[in-house]
Amino acid sequence: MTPFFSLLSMIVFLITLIACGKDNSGKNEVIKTAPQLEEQPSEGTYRAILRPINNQLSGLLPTGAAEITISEDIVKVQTLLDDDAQVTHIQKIQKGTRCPDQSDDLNNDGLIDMDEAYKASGEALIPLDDDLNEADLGSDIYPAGSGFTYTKNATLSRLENDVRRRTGENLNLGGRVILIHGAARGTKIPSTISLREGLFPQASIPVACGVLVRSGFNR
Amino acid sequence: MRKIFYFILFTLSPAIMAETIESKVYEVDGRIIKFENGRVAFIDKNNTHIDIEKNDLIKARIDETSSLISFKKIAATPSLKNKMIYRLELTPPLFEPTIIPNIQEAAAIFNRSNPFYKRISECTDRAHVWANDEFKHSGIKSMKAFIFFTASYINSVRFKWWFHVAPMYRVNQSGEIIDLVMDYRYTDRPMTVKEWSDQFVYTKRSCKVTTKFSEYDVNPQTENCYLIFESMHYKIPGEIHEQEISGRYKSETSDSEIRASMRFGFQL
Repeated sequence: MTPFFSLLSMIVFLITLIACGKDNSGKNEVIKTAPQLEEQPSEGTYRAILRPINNQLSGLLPTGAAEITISEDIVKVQTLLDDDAQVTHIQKIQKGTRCPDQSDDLNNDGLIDMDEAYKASGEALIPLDDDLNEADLGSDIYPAGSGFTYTKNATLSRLENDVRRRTGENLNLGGRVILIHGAARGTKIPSTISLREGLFPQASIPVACGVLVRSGFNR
Repeated sequence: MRKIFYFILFTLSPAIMAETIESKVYEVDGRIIKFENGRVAFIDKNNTHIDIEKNDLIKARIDETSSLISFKKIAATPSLKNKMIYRLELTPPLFEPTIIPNIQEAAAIFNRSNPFYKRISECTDRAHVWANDEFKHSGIKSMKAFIFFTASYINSVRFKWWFHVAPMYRVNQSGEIIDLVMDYRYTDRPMTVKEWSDQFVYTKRSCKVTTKFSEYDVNPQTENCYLIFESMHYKIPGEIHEQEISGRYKSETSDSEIRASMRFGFQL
């Protein structure tokens, strides 16, 4: 019986292999996916310098830094930002690999809005909110204040699973973008900007951005 | 109970939102107090008698819009920052910035900038350390680009600095010699002087280039901004002003200056 089943398994395996490799072009629709970053080992330290975007929104340009350390199954995220807007700052790791610049102002209204920023830096991958483990658990609670330090830990396996389940992407932090939003309440913002998630214009506007780099430098 | 909570929150919110600046006053320009550390505070029209003068060392509380809430004068203590710790020359020293052979090398210099500056640090300290680090690393001599914002510009956009400085390098870009500013904290790449000034001057008006600090330091000010380019040895606007007044030139950067800038500007 055993040799029979071995032979059967091999036949089934070969059929599967041929089926996976067959050319479907012309029969099925080709599904286009966004180019993914090459799979990277997660463990390590990633840093980003957060620099201002949409500078004209404030008389004090927001700057900051982000550091993500992954060791064994623990992910530690720290972001800090200094600006003068006493507001909640939505902050997310995006799927893309570059920060928006003025050339991404597609409607030429002088500002890079959320849609334009997401076109340049990709859709959101991980919200850096109150619970890093799962996007649904953080309740969109983000750090507030003109100078904040945000520190959260997560379990790597939970975070990776959540990212894969929601976005189909691997975590691959090196090269990803961190985008921070939120200008002061009284800031004048043109009505031409795009709005998402029911946010006020001032809350939605991106103000700082940085690209995560796997760290080669140490303090 | 909830009403009381909200009342307290509302009443205290201006205090919660206050920021403290502790610095010597560079000058009081109309309703703008310019601090030596580059920040400004605005004096409200209601405040008719503000007893603040040039060189006063004050601890000021400002609100979210940089309006002065309160201040107190504090006794000046001799600090490393105020000491003359460099030599001055009576004749203009010959200073030729190194020409960087190409843009790639300029980008490499930018990416070598020490990223571990303190959250609360002054541009003068950062620029001094970055320029000196590169000189120690490769022998490359650089310049400093100082940008000075006029009172009319500061008022028009409620800008919160009166000056800013960053290292500037002379670069051979395919046979053309250009100057690139490397402002690692605020920009993600080396920028031409105009690109750099556009980061801070929202009107995108070009800044008037001058060699005399007094040209900036007069009223009324019709420009948005002025630019002064000096050798890498110049750290603060006071040194440029001093050069104009006394005719003495700064020709070196002392180790003690760099140690002070490291201590005030960077995580050790």
